[in-house]
Amino acid sequence: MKAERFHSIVDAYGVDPARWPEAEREAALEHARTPEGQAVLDGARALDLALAGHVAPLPDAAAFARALKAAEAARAPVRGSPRFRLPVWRMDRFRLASGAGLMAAACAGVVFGVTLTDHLTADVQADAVLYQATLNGLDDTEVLG
Amino acid sequence: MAAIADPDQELVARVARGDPDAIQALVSAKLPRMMALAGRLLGDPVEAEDVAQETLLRAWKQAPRWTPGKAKFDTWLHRVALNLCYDRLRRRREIATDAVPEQVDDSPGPDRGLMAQDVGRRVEAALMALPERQREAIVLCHYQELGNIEAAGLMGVSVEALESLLSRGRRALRAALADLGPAAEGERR
Repeated sequence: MKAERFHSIVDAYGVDPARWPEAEREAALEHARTPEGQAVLDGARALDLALAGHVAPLPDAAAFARALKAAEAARAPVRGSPRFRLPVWRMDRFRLASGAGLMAAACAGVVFGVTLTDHLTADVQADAVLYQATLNGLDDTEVLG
Repeated sequence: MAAIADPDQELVARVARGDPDAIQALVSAKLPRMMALAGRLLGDPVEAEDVAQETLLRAWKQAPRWTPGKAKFDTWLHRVALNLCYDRLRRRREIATDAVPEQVDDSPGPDRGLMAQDVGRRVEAALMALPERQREAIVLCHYQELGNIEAAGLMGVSVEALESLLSRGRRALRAALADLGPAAEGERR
């Protein structure tokens, strides 16, 4: 293998021979044993090391459970033909969101009810005050003549 | 054309017969793998799980009809997951506004040593800053450890084009991560 090709392989695939093109791996490994090849590998090692520091998101136990539940549902015979069906793994989130929605609606109802009652009470009180004022007050014609 | 040797062949056949142990084994092996793929391409763990779950759901439906020898099951899973990721990336581009979000420089100060988590975050930021095709090539070859022919096939490009994407991607990563250590500088020739 030419040194230039070895450079290109390491440049593209990094230092791990397992990632090198299968057809060229043997020849590349042979070149890697030369001092020139070693120097190329030494130079490329840092980036591979840095890339290894990235940990991908991993599924938690709930995600595994959702996947197994979905597998079960996918294999179960479908009864009827529902027009809309959420994927099983989203059902949990949907239920959670629905619960939260109901709670929010209930709270909003309580707030609205209290506000409405306040308004009605205020209106009734205002009417009562006006009525009492008319009982005790003087007519405009009496005052103004 | 010679039949392709598939390490998952027996497992998929058992899944098709409804073997619960096989289903569990397939979930254990492929859910983290698909989530890692989608997580690194999308940069969002919630979206990554959605993609991984949807991919497996399609696998359950496909398993009874799976024809061994035509393609590796793992490659097919990658194809499905990649398409789901493309859809999501396309949707993101469509809803993106003209406003450029303020770039947050989360690089550590010169006097602060890097913890493993910091390195991970830096690498993730550098990966997400790559052009999509370069990121895809690096994720498939480096992280998912697919062969070059397999990865090129999935991306619909020649092996030469894949190598070019990989080289450019790694060059950009080297530049972005140069301050991680003096050795990171060394790869430049």
